[in-house]
Amino acid sequence: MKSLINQIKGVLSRIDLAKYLMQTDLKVRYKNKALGFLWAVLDPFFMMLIYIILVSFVFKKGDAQYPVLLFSALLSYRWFVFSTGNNVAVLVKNSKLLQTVKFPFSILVMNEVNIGLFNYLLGLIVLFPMLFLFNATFSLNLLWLPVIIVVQYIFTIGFGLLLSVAGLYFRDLQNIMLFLMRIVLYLSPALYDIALIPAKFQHIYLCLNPFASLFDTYKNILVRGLPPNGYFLVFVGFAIVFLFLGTYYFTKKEHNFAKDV
Amino acid sequence: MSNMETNPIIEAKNLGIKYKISRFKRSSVMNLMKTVATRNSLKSNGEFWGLRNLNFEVQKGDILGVLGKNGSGKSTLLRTIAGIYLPDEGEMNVNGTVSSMLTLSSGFKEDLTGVENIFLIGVVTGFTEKEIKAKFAEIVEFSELEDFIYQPVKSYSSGMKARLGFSIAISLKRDIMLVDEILGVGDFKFREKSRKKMIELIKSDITVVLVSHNSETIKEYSNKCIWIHEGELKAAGETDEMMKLYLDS
Repeated sequence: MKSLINQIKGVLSRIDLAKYLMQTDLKVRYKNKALGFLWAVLDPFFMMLIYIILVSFVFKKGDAQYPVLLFSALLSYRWFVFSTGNNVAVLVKNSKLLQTVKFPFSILVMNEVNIGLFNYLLGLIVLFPMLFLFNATFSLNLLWLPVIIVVQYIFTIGFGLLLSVAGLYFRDLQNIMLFLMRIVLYLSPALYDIALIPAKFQHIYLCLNPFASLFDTYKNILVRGLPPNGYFLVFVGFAIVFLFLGTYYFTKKEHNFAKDV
Repeated sequence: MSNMETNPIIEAKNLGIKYKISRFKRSSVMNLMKTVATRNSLKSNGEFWGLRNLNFEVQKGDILGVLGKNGSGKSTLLRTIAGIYLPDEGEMNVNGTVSSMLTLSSGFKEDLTGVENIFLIGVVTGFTEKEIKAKFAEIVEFSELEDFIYQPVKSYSSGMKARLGFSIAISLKRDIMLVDEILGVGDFKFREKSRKKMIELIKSDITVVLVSHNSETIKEYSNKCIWIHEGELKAAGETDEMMKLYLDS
């Protein structure tokens, strides 16, 4: 708890830095391209197009709403993969910075999550017109979306803090994570519906895999007009545990980063 | 060293900084450390002391030169003063805010313009947007980059980069300034100009810790010196006498 409060204080004291790191990253990413920031929207759009073509026309599978169901889960997965994939290497990538300036290093982890979130929000710009097109059920349950996003943010920060330290001391983790994150996608109900899991395993499946309830919740509130069910608390639980573990572990190791990088 | 004044601004008491050598790491930094380690007391359990039993004081306004060969622990010392390394043994007391010149040319983002880099480096080193804006004109003017300041840094020559780096460091400063091998950048004219600026700085009440393997630089600017050899303090004193010792060795 103490380390969490200290980390938050540290980040808040350098909010200018957090802002500039994000601006810089976004500028570098999009600046020299003719279409600039438009790519942040085009990127998820093309990704979705590929899946629609693949599933609807090539495999001729999935129900009418399959593309938007898929996309509402995939956008969230994309955010997680982006931030986590970068955070596993974030301390190594910024080694020069760590060795020259002292600042709350957790800002670097937060930055990767912020950029992922930024891309996610731009992805929603593509998603919402699609929801209309595919006759999604709009309801007041859509108001849950900001809540879900905040919980995923906390989850990704906590996990990122843990992973950034682990990635510093065990460099092979960068490669391992690429596979693990692929496996997470296949083990979670993003590409398929949760109903595909045999009924007797569903309870244990939803309890053990935090992404199961996360993806299902996104599908529920965005497409089906349903509220989150009780299993979402599993994801909330994972988020809180990761946040505490992450800040504790990160704080404990933080003063060694410059030496060990 | 004269200990007449009270409350030194920097004080090292029996300071020791330890490095661990892990099997998992393969970065170039590690290789560098290993070469350092072979000259230091390499222990069987994969630890070595980058600095040990270091005692010295710096008074406010002093310009402290740090003498020593490559790998003797000079950079480790600067990082400890900057608060990047915590002492594994003893104490390092710093009674002031620290800015460091170490970042400079390596800290630039090549795709961003000079202006954007000024602000980025400024906030990274702990200044607020407002403070940087106040110093902005001064930085641009001193760098002599003129309209190039709006161009991406990747279009700069190495001399231009160094000029911008020096201008940022000299304008955005704190109570204590750490300087690592950065003097003597740019062409002759700029070197003269930055020399004058350094002398101006020395006359102000700012405290400077200056690291260089070029003893001429240290002789010119610093009034006190410490000499570090294999992580330990070999000698300390006024620059003139230290220079004699160092050059005779």
